[in-house]
Amino acid sequence: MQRWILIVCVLFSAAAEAQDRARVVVPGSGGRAFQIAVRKFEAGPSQVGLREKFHQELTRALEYSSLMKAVPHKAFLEPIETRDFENSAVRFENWRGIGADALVDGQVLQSGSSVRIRFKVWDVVRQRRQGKPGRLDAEVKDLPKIARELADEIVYRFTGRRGVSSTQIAFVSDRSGNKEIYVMNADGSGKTRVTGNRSINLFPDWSANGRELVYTSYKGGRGADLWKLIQGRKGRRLIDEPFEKFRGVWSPKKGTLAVVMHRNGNTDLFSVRGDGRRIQRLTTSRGIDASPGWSPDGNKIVFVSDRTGSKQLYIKNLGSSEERRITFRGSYNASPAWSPTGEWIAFAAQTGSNFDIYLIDPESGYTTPLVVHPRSDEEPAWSPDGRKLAFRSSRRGRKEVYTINIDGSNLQRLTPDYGNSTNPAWSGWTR
Amino acid sequence: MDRPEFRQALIASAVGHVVLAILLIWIPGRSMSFPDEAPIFVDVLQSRAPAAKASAPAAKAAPKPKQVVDEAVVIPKQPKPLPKPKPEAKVEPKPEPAKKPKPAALTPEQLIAKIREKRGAEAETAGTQAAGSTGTAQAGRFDPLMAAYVKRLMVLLYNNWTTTAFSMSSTFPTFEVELSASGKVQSARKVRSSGNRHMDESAERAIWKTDPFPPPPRGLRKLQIVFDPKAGA
Repeated sequence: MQRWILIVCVLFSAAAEAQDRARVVVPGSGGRAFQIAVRKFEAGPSQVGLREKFHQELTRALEYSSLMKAVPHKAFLEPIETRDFENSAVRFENWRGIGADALVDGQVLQSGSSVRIRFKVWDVVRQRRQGKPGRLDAEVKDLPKIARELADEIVYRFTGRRGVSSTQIAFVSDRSGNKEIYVMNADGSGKTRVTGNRSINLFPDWSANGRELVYTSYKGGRGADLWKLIQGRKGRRLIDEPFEKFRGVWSPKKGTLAVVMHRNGNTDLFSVRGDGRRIQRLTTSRGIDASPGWSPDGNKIVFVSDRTGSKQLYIKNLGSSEERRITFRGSYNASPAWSPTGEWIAFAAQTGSNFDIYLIDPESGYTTPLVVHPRSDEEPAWSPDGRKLAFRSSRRGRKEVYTINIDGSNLQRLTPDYGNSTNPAWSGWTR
Repeated sequence: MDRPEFRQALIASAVGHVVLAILLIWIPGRSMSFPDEAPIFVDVLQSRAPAAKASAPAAKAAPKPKQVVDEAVVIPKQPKPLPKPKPEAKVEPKPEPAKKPKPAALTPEQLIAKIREKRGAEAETAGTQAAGSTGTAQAGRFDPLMAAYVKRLMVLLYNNWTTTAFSMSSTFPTFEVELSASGKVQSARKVRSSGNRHMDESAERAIWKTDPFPPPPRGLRKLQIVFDPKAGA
């Protein structure tokens, strides 16, 4: 009898064990935006105006990332201003109660023409500080820039990669009557003209550190030539060669450029050092090789060639010199741009009489459309974090620069009232 | 018989027959020539328009064999009634099919029981599929209450998970969560890292964001939560 009781007990305990635990597989994210509460930073009475301007810019820059959404101040259960930054205690339950995932506290300290921003970032849900307290120093005039840099830093602390609100986009506009190079903030604000030679200036491209800009210009009467602009200095000719140079593209790693040059009767790709020296031929086909784009590791170049009769994309491995074709559909594929993550190459493919922007996996060749519109979308340029793409579109008649998230959301027109705007080039982070 | 008159009569008769035969052959040949009939003129244009019509008679002519075919098809059908008597002969050994009407004889209670049995089997099949999608690891028997709870949790965590991590890794974070009887999270312990700190943190944040969980079924205290975006792909 006892034996039977024991067996029954064992069976019951096994059944209880089976019910004691369960496994849940979460098959993805519901796409909820990360809710961030941004308090107005602590500031002295004379710095309230400065603080307000900073707060506005910071909130805007955080939301520009498309990853974060600011919790409205009217929802706050806690004071909307940081009080006693040094010793501030956070009541996490009050922030969780309004649905916040994170909180930003800070302080604005002005001294003459310079300003110091101190900040703390809190993970409200996990109830801990997210990273160490930080500080940023700048001139008062650069306060908006500092706000965007702080926003990018906050994005980094929660995602592992910085936001891009502090980066810039260079583009060509004929607003003045001539095709000149302009630079603007990534959100389209703060447009500034950087060339004024009344000639034709095209294809700006940023160095990896975002401080040097190379572009093609027809000034000087020597045909197409490459010029380099360094922040705060006068531009200079990049290469002292008599041949026409149509375009230069900076390598993301090695400080070299891939250059499209017409030499010995044919247009090919060459590599050249950042100082314009040590020119090396990269391609030797009889067709026209153009539109180079570097892989993120700087070891490969994707380019367009008509060597088989139609314009197709090819990848050249700089180590092995191997070249392989990656597009086989359509007769005109153009302006390839390799994503900073290396996963995709964006390019414009002619469909009918217009172009649409597609993404192709350089390994498998899998191709998917990203921007499709009855009018032309061309010249894709990746943001340095790989989350966004700038491109030129004529969907409203004139050619204008737009940005879009790579999931196809958040389309933004950046150059309204700027004539025809083309050739967008997205900078890296300057620090 | 040897009379010359008889011979002459025979010859005259033979000649007469031959002449008659020649006349018979010659007269029909003349009658088929219709020399006095005027020729028939056909308007070419008209003849084109009713081309379909012209073909219609051809089609009409075609159906004739079809009818013949139909008739031919009908004919083999006739033998079918012949085997019929055979089933009739088998009626005797088929008392089992005759049992089919028997369910009608079931009592309402029996019918309800039967429907419940059927629905139970269907629910079990569906539940097993749901359990597979939500990841319940209940080897052996199926618990619909548990499957529903797991599915509810999956939805809550899905909605609360913000995958802010930039890059996806090949492995995904797994947490072991201990619950109180009311569903309050007692602890959330990472048992497997994705290799990406920000991804792990976002998963942990989803758990605490969901806290408190709905009250679990009796006895359930531990959950293994796997954050696997590829499972939804």
